[in-house]
Amino acid sequence: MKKIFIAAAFLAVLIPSSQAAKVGAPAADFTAKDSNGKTHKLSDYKGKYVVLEWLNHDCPYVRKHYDKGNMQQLQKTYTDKGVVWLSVVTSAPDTEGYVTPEEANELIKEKGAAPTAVLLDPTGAVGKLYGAKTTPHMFVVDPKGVLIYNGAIDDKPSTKPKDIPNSRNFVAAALDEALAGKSVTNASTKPYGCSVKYAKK
Amino acid sequence: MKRFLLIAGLMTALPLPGWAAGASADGPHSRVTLAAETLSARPGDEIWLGLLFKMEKDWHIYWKNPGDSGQAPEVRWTLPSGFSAGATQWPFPRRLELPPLTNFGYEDRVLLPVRLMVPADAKTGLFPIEASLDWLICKVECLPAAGTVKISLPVSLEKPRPDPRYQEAFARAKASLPGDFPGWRLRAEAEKGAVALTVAPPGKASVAQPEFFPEDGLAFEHAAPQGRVQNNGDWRLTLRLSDQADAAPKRLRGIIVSQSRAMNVDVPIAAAAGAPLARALALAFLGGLLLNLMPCVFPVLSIKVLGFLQTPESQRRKQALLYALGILLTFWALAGTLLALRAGGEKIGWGFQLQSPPFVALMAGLLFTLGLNLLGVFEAGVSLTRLGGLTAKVQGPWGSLASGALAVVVATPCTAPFMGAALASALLRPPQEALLIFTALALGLALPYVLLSWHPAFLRLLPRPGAWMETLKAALAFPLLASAVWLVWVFSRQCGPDATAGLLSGLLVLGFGVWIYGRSSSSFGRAAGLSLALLGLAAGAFSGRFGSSPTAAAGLWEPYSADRLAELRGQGRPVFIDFTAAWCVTCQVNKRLVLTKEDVLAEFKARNVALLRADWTSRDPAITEALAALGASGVPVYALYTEKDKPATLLPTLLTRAGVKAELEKLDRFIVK
Repeated sequence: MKKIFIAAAFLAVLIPSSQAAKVGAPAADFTAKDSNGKTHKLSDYKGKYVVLEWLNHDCPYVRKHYDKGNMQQLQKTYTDKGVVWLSVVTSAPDTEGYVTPEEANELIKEKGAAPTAVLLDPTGAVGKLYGAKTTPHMFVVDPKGVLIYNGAIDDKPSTKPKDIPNSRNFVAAALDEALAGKSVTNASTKPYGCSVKYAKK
Repeated sequence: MKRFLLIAGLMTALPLPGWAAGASADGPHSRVTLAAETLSARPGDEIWLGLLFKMEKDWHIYWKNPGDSGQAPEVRWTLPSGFSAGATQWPFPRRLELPPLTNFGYEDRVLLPVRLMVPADAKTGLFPIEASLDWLICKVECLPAAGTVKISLPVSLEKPRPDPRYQEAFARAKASLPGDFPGWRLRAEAEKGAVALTVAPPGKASVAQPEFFPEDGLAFEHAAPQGRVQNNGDWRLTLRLSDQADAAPKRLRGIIVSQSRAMNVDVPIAAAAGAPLARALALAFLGGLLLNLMPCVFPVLSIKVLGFLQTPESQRRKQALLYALGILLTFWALAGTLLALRAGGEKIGWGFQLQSPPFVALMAGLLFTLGLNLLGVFEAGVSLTRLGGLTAKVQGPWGSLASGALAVVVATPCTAPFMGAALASALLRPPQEALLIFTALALGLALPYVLLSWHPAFLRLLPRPGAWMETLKAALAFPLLASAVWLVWVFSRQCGPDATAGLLSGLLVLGFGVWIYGRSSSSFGRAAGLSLALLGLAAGAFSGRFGSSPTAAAGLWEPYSADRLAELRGQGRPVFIDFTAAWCVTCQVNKRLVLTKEDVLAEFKARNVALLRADWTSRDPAITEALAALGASGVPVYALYTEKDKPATLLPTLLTRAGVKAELEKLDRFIVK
């Protein structure tokens, strides 16, 4: 028994972290607690589409999508279609965007957000696993566990909400195409936003 | 008169740079000012405008590629009709690290120059120049900023004077803009998961650690260290591709910064040149194995195998291992010397040792002596037979080591198939990889002997020791002598007939001395013989200092020169370059079987292909450089230049008539008859 445990621990360390964000490759399986204390694993959602949205409500780029209800609309539309939408907060304690579980729940109510759950990742483990660089940074995983989108939320990097109606939303496009059985046209784009506030080493 | 007074009045009334309020705009923690380099402009002029950003301490704005996050400042110009503004110019940025992320931007202050074109038909007067800006300012958190800045630019006929307030800022900005530096060679090569960028300064100029900033924000891992390696004055940067990069990016665009200067980079990315390390190692090992069959080495190996018959079984494995160790150490010494010389600035490639006529003479002398030894002309301490273990004395450990070293020494003039390519590529790689390749070669060379020593079973196949051993020993002299003949031929190509006569005379004296040594029983006799032998050897090597290579055969093949190549390519002619050397066996084979054949030459002529021969028999730094630019460090190399700006196609090392003709047929697509 001890041997199996040691072997498993050894293997766990070997799980590659840098290739987890390559479109077309299996997305890395993460484990994280949400704002209600419940543990989520990517493998829990096999058979469903999963959207990962890196979140920081103090970032002007995130505000752009939340102030006029753009992000909330996306969340409602696609969770109604059976997509699992996970917002991830990777800000380290004492950095911009960091929230306690209570604060996270407060913000969900305040903003009228509709994610399946808000995952709290203050150690940055999930962020580093996916190479999350900005808020927002969007990932879409298909029911087989393969990453089909990695990048920006839309094609207009700006902080202005008035740009939203004229932008092409990559996440919506990717989900629409995938749900219709087609391959994703823009599968990899440069994410824009504030930097994710990882803990200083 | 009135008009003159009016104009004069207007000119004197022109205000000093009274930039109306609005030249600056404030944003959080920052201020941007619209500056003009000169106080006025003439109609038709192009002047520099500048967006001067001043940031509070620790706050920064971003470069055109902001890096992992952030956003570069954006500007929209509102100009009077006829005026136009160029693209924003970007002084080189700083790396701003926010682990695990990296951004590129500016701290404290920066001026972004923009060219303004004043129309030739502009009337004199004041013209409003307005810019509407969006920028992102960050410390750790980010704040968006926006503002509009406006100036009134006087257009007059007087010579524009610089605005003293911004002179320094403009000078600094212009000095920080990336420029083009002809004379520097930049090369990008695809590697596994990365792009290798080689930066070669001209001549012996040295440059401090260069840093690459990519223009594309998605292709590279901005946070990854750039793995800088310096090799012979050149820098080699390894730029890690990001998870989101195209599998095989075609072009590398960006800037290199070093010592506060910046250089533009816009080069194609060559497909992975050179075999991956594993392949090179396999080739080197195979080459080492085959080297045992070459006429230089085969006699040594055979003698050593015969030596088994007189070595007690308990000693065999130990001696075999020491032999292998001797080979390994000697190859490392050779590799180390080559790498050290390259790092020291010598432009050498594999085969360099044979480019030196005294060395060739010495090797010829050595092989001649060894051949004489096998023929029984003399016996000596450091003789092949002793080292081979054929004498009565049991070989000591030093003897085994020395025989390994001897095997390598006699192997150097010989190149086995596969070995040449592996070794040539070895010298272009980082030193650790090069040493590994040489190790693989050494192991290949040593393996057969070690294997044989390990399995006593094999040795039972050998017949009992007897007189046949003497005959075999003598017969093995001839491959060695044949190799010596070949080296004399190489020498003759390098130094001409007169020097060759000198070498042959030296070998004669050497032979005579060795014979005296062999026949004497007195120590005086032996000493005399030895001295004579050494004299002959020295004389032979010395004649290598004189003489020059016979004039290249005139006719179809022109001697290579970089200028001639440029000239021919400028004319639009396709060019075929044969990089060859007298001591390169593969080159000679290709020449005999393909490059001198009538039908092949006719194909070249029909397409008006210019034929250049780059003879690398003796040292030639220009040719070594040309080889390096093609990604090679040894010969043969066959380069075919077709269209004007396309890089050369490299033909395979072993040519076939059909292959060459097929390549030439591809030319028909480009040539307009």
